[in-house]
Amino acid sequence: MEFSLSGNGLKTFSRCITCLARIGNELAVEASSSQLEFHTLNSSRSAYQSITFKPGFFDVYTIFGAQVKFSVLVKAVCAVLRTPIQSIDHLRVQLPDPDASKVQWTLECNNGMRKAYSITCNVEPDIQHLALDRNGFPSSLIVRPRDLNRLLANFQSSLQEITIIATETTSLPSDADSETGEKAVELRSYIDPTKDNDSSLHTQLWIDPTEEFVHYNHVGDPVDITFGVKEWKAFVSFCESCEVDIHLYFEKAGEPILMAPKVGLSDASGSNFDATLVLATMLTSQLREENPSEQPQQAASIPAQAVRQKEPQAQPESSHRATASEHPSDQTKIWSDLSARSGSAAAENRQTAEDRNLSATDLRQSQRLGRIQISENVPAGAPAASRHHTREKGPLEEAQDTPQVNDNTFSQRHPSNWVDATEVDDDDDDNDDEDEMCIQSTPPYCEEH
Amino acid sequence: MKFKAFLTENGVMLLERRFLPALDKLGKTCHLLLTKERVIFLHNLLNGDGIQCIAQFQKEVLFDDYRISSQNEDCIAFAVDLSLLQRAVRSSVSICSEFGAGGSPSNRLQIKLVKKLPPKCTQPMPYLTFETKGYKAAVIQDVPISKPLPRAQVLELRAALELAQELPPTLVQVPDLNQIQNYVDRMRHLGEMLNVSISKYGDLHLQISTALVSLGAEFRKLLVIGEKAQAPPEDENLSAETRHQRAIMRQDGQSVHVSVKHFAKSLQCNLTKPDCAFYGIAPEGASLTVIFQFFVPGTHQTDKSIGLHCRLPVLDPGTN
Repeated sequence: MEFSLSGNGLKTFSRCITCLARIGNELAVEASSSQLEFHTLNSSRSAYQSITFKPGFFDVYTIFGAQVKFSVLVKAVCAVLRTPIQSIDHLRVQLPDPDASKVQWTLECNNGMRKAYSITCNVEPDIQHLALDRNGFPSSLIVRPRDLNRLLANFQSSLQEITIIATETTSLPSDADSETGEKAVELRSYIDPTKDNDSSLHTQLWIDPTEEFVHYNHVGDPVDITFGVKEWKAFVSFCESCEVDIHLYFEKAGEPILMAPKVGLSDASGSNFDATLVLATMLTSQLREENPSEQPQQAASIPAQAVRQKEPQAQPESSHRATASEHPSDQTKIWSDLSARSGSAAAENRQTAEDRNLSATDLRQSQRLGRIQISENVPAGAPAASRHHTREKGPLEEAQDTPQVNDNTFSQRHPSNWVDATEVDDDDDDNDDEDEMCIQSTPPYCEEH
Repeated sequence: MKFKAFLTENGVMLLERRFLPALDKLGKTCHLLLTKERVIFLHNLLNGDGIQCIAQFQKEVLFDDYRISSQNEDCIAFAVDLSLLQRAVRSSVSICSEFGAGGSPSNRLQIKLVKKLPPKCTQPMPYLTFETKGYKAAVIQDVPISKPLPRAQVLELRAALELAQELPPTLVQVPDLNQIQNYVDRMRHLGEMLNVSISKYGDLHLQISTALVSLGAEFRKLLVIGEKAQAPPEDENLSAETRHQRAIMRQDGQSVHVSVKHFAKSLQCNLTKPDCAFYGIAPEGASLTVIFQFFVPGTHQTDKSIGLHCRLPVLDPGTN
């Protein structure tokens, strides 16, 4: 196999490598006569990126035999491209034969210097495949990298995971506040309950998708997805440098999300390269808060599933949901607006909590069953994303889905859910009593009867 | 205990662009003391270690509709992470002032003290919350804070604040902090201890000495506030070091050793864009005090509603 690159192609190639290096450690290369594909999987197997180049992308592209597969350390490739791109005339990559142990990278510099690198191929390449149909996702959005960077600037820079909550734009309640009604998408910092969170900034950002996004499509019940910010930022930088918009496809919590550059009018049809980033999302939905008495549980290690996922918290039972949904804003609550709670409501809440604790046990059982089912259908080592179109819904998902059918009253755009909503003042406390300062504690659910 | 206010445009300018970046450089966390009249940022006043910095504002400078109440004489104090506070203010401002949102009276930046239950936690936590609503977006930033200080610590903080307000007998005005910053940037690699001498004649002398090399900078004929004296004419032709030694012998000058790191840090206050700065040494060489002065915009009158000063701990140079 041999290919060579120069000029703009080399620039794009370098950006691709930089982005891949921010996702995973190993660069798997698969070359056939129709395309060259790079992919990488991160160590926690929660992120998978694949970049394909058509032969037309290269100045020279030749392949001996049907297919060539090998993998190298992406760090080593980054070292090759450390030479400023402007000073490189062209890059030539050669694998003398399909079983060769080293790949030759040769840089011909403008000043006449030639730099040759031999990168050892990994002995046991861990080449994974992931096939996800972009058209299979019910929801999607397109955003300009610059706008996205601006939105992400609202969050603490060390934020690990972010939650996107998508609601339908057209299903506005008729009495919705005109100022708040259009902000159908919320970005929220995900705070890992298992970590010490004393020093994290909690951010909730509501945006109007028609203003901030190029395109936004979500129909039906609100959904939320929580995923890693680091990989997302890597892809944003990549798209920004390539001057293309980002197309984000998603379904719901627990299902993978897919990102691709939006090139021209249709994705990648006019381009001679394409990229895909698939990120696992947390199974836990942020839409309905967990009872605080339940301790969050980390996912037991399930290698086949192999995704950064937490044990899902118990979903409220439908009986509880009926109570909760009386309050229209149980989707994206503003904590400070939830200070009102009568004593009787609190007692009832406790009762409900007990019910939920019981039901939580059952649901966890279901979840384990569901996972077993997942692992059977997923090829060993493949990220969970691959189960997207290959399996039936697990029992838990059915349990999750059922209540939603009867739950059409969700709306995050209830006026009380917004800034300037009526505030509940509490009585003055003595600050010497450390447990009784500030505003009253906020219950996890605001239940008004 | 309650605190709620709206940040004014001027308050945003002062905090976001000037004070928070500077205070962040002085230390990651600081105490925020809110009283009925003033808002005060205090660095290192309770633990007494390191450079002390006090930035105080009359409440009207930063806020309108300022409401505070507590059973501790309407005083609330807590510790806050400055980088998070800065991020929260910056984010809220960007939402508040976004295109299309200007001029709407409802786009106000509300700041309040709340106690919230973070997701999946059992203990409610105190936060300083910023709420803003713009045309395209709305944001809530919850900045985690320490539990409000108990009464005894608030009293201790206020006592330390009173103590830190004491003015040195002689203050010399430094016209250009950038110049000092340049010198210190060059000198800081030489050693860790900086000798600062201030005389009643209006001289400021900075010097770093090591066994092999000694490098100093002297500013002369500076404006003196407080106790001043005429420089004796016979000193004119002497070296800077000798003149300062003679001034100290005549009790017309004082000299202290401070950490170069502390001194460089105090110069970060230049980010607040003060109109001038004064250096002075507290009686008996207890500390080096730097007072920054702000003018009412467009005038040369001191803006008494803003105050910023630092106190640098002095080092014991040893017996050699």
